[in-house]
Formats: sequence, structure tokens, C-alpha cells
Amino acid sequence: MIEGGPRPRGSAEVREALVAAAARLLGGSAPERISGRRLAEEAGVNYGLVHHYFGGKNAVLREGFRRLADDYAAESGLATASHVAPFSLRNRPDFVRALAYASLSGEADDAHVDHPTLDAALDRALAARPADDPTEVRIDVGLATVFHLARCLFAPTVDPWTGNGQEDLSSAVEERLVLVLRSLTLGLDPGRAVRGERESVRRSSAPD
Amino acid sequence: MPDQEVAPVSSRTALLDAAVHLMSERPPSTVTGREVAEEAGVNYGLVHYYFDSAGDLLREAQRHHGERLIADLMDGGTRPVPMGRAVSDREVFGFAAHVALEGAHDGDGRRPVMDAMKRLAAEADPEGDPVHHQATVVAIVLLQLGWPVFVEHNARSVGLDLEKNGAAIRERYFEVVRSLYRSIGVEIDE
Repeated sequence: MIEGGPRPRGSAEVREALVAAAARLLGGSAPERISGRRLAEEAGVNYGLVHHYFGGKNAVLREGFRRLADDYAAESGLATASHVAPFSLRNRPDFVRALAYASLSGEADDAHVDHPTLDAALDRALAARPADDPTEVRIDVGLATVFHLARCLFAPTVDPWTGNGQEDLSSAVEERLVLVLRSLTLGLDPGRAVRGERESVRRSSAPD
Repeated sequence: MPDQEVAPVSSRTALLDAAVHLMSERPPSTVTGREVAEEAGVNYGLVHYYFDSAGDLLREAQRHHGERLIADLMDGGTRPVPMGRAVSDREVFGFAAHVALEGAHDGDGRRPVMDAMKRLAAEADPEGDPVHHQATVVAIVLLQLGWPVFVEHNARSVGLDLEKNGAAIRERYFEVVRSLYRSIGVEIDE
């Protein structure tokens, strides 16, 4: 909680404080590790209010997740359908970590976690590949999003190694990764993308 | 070596193995020293006999033991991790993903597994472009780490049924990783 601030009062303030607290805590630990008491403490409200307003901690966590997803969608331009940068989740490590914790704990599905990146990528890919089998497009987008999320989540693992400390080498590698992401989304050959080729979009009806 | 020398060494290894196993299922921050001892089938006191603290045991398991597990899968870094192991071996990659998630890698920038993969590329494709080699290593590592964390949840989120589409998802994933390896002239075992 924000030390020294006034304690949240009334329905709207208490709810808001609890949801904001959930959004903060979800980026730092697995959802099953966040107790109702911890949420109340972080929000600066009485524990009883978690149940009073939400019926239990899971509903608060769900709202917290939605908050992270909405904030990200608004910031990244997803919400307004403007241009979205590749690896756009990199600016929101808290949301990526929250997704990772929730996915690993198996609670993401129970929580019906919103996943705006994935929804947007799927819409774009389906529109770009009208002749392709929709199941195939879904598989490609699912794997492309695994790559996108891993790029963002595991940046501390790969980035210090990449480029041997040379910035131009690092950014050249990054450009290749962007091409790989594109080729995964479009169902193209990532082996060509990683060599720096930008294949044109496959047309299923066209001869091979 | 006399028996009384062997026994303590194997208890220590049992603790490290048990720690890796527990961390393949959940993040390091959720694992306690007592749980590791119980999983290893050794007395809790041994945690403090071999390590300064439970935290030290977990750190030791993350840093050295985990790297050794992956190096074993790569035959000491002489060949790529076989494809089937990369998707089914939750023990190793679930562990690697959890460790990476909780930032155990923040330290020194040493990445022996990635170095080994880069050497594979340099041997198989000696005239190749370093940017291509590095990007290939990074792309493969990200796909391998990302798989155990995100694939099930993502598949459901795009409206796929894991029972029905699981085989097709794995097939496309294999094709992707195989194609990345091929670009550096390395053929990968199934």
C-alpha cells in the first residue's frame, strides 16, 4: 500500500484499492501464493472487505489480471487498433510475468485470463491468410505468441549473452527475431527469416 | 572410496536433484528446504549440513545442477537437445523456465548452453554470419523455454483443443525448430 495515504473508504475506493493491489502482486508471484490477507494488506483495507465486495480472493485476482491486460492494451495501441510494435509486451514485464505465473500454475484457464496480444495477433493473421485452414492459422499464432512471450519473459536470460556487449550486433540479432516472429505468425519458414529473408505472405491457392 | 565417504556425497546430490525436481513444477520462491529434504528422502538437518541455508541449496541447484542437466541432454554440448526431449521433458525445461522466471540468471552473463549451441553453429556453418548464428541460438532457446510455460495456455486461448490439436501443434513446433537448426547446417534428432 502507499504508506501514509488515507485508507480507502467506501465501495468504489475499496474495490479499486483491492484490484490495483492484485495487479501489482500478480507480476511478482504465482496467483495461488497470493492470499486474501496479502491482498488486503497491500490494498490497506480490512481483510473482511475482500469477501464483502468480491466474495473471495479469486475474483479480486481475476479483476487484477483484467486490469493488467487493459493497461497493456491501452498503452500498446492494441485498444485503438493503431500500429503495434513487435514484441510489444516488452514494455510490460509485470503483465508478462503475471501471465507466466498464471500459466505455470494452471490457474490461467480458471481465471479466464484476458490475452489481448493473442486476440489481436489472431485477428490479423486470419485476415492476412483468408485461404488458409483456420486451425493451422490458430496453431501458428499460438506458437508465435509463445515466442513473443518468451522473448519478453526471458530477456534477462538471453540479452546479456546476445551481441557480446556490442549494441549494433544486438540490434541486428533483434531484427532477425522480429522476422522470425513474423514468419511464425504467417506460417512461413523461420529458417529463412533467421537468415534475414522476408518471405512474402503465403497464398494457399497459389502453386508452390 | 570407503562407504562413509560415498554416502554423504549422494545425499548432497539427492538434495540437489530433489530441488531441481520441485523447481520444475513450481517457481523457486515457493519451494522450502523441508520440502526438498522430504522429496530427497533425507533428514532435514542435512540441508544445513551441506549448505549454509535452504536458499543456498536452491541457488546451487539452479546455477550448476540445472546447467549440467541440459549439458547432459546435449551430450556435453556436442549435439542439439533431441526434439522429443525438448517438448516432453518438463523436468529440465520446466525447471529452466522457472529459474529464468525468477531471475537466477541476472548475474554474470555466462550461458554455457547457449555457448555450446553457438559452437555447434560455427562448426556446421564455418563461413556463416555471426548475426544469423546468434539469432538462431536465441530463437531456439526462447522457443524451448517458452514451450513449457505458455504453450497450453496459448493453445486454449486461440481456441484450440489440446486433445484434438496437440499432435498438430507439436508437429508445427518440430518443423519450426528443425528449420531453425537447418539454417545453421545442424540436423536434429527426433
